[in-house]
Amino acid sequence: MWVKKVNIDIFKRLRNISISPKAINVIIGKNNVGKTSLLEAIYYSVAKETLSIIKRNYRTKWDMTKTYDKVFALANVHNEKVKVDIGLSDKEKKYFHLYKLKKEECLEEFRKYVISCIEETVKGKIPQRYNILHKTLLKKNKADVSIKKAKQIIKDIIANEKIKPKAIRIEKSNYEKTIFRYSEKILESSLKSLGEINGKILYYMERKNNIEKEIIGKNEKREIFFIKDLEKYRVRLLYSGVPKSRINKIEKYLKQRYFKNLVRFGFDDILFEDETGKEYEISFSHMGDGFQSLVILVDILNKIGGDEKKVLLIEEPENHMHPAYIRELLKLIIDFSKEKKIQFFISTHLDLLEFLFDEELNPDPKYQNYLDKEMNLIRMNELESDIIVEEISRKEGSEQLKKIHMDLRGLSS
Amino acid sequence: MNKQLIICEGKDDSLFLEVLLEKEFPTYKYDPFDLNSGNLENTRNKQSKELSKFKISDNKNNILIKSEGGVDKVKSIVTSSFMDIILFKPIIVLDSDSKEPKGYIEKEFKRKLEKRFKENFIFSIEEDKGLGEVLRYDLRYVHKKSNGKRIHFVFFKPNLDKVIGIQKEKDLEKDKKNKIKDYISYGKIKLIFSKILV
Repeated sequence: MWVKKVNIDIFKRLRNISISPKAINVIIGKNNVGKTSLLEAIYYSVAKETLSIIKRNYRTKWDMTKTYDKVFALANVHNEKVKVDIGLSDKEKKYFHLYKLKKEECLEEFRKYVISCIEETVKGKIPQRYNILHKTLLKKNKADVSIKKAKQIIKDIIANEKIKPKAIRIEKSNYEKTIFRYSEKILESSLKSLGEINGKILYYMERKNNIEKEIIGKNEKREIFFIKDLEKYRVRLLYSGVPKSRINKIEKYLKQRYFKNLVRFGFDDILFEDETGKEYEISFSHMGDGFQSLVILVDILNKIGGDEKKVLLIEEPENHMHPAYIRELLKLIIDFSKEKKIQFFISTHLDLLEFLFDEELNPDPKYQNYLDKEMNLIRMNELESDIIVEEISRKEGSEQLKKIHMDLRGLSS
Repeated sequence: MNKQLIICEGKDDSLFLEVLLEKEFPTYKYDPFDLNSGNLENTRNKQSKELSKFKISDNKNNILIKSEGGVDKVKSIVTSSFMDIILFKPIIVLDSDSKEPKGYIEKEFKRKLEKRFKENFIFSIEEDKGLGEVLRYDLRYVHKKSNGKRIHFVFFKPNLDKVIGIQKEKDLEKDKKNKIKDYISYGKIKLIFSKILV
């Protein structure tokens, strides 16, 4: 899958935005003009595993001390899909995403999900919790209660405000109780706001702090990937370890492209051979940050690239990179776009931008021709608190740089 | 302080504007900026740097007269740097040559901006009465519920040199200035600029 068209009615600060992406889409603009929001909107509108992300987030990210009772914004990302942005306060927001045709179905889906989370616990993941619940149910019914009966009671608890205090008492310290406790408030506040969206499809979505952890996951069927911070991903990867098959792919790529004298690549040591044939080692951690980031990106691209079209959203990949590595980064992006069918959405500030337009910095015609055809510059500007988006072809961008000497990012003050 | 940008085609236009401001609008202080002057090496983002400097400077000069070096560059900066130049309530000074100004604005500016900004702005062209050999048009742009703002166009028909009587190859700068002063003294041109200078 490649993204051919993006229409955003409302998403965070973005309003009425329409873009027609190409293979390599470069997003520029000052700070706080919504570059990340644009990437998020694209990601959230296509990601298929949002529900499972929600599920994992409930376990780890949900803040149990606050009440989720405020609906901030509505968004229509596709023609018929609507997102609801539910938040704690203006500063902290959470997004929920469900796939259903009507609001009632959507809310019912959410309700079912809440119940299933509780049931999962009851069934024995944490047996003592089951016991507490079980005892409480026994007390309430003065008789033995089967699991089936328990499920029904849980449903009743959610549906009935009067029984709610008991439900809260049942759970004290695990994640399900929070869902349980606040699900009704979320549902209520969502319902109050639904009139504004005329019953279009509701998409609840939760925004993640470490979204890249989730998206570079094990699921090979994923079509869209989002790397918010390459550095964080690098650190995590070094701690968690990388399978041999992936290391071999990196080694192959590095040998082909950068180091003819590379004998063996590893995330611990890299073995080189000098002119006399003598081998010497350099620790990967002693290599520069730029090199390490480039290697990590090779790993990510190897992992997601293949026969099927995929989409990679990435923020400022050139951070920490020396200009020589930025040139390599650009070649890497073009190679993987062309040969491994990866569509890129890249937010950047300056460094990469220079290389994208400077023919002298990348004289190889195959790269130049590909960029001429497949690069789309998306410039974001702020006007009277609104975000304005322009799409600029490489030809127009070059003209602006070379003919009228204007900075593509806009004025600096 | 309001900062205003006047964009023109070449050196004679810039000279005309400088004389006009000095003679008829002495309270306005200006800086001239010729994109093509000086060393053309290392000019990366030269124009952006100049505009940024002008924008933040707190000196008394509130007008920047920008000479682009050709009509193509004028067209280019208005369309490709629209979001930057509208910060300065721009006036565009052009020669009409053989072109019909309204159709020219429609084709070279309005349609290109519409294509670039899609539904972000609504553009329309407004015509002022003009003076016969000097015509004024406005390209009005409306963003959402705002009342709309304008880019002002001043066209010399057929061109500034003919209207003023400048002989490009023969006249020295002093001669040109005298001819410009004579033309300005008729008073008509002041009327046009008094409506669009902020």
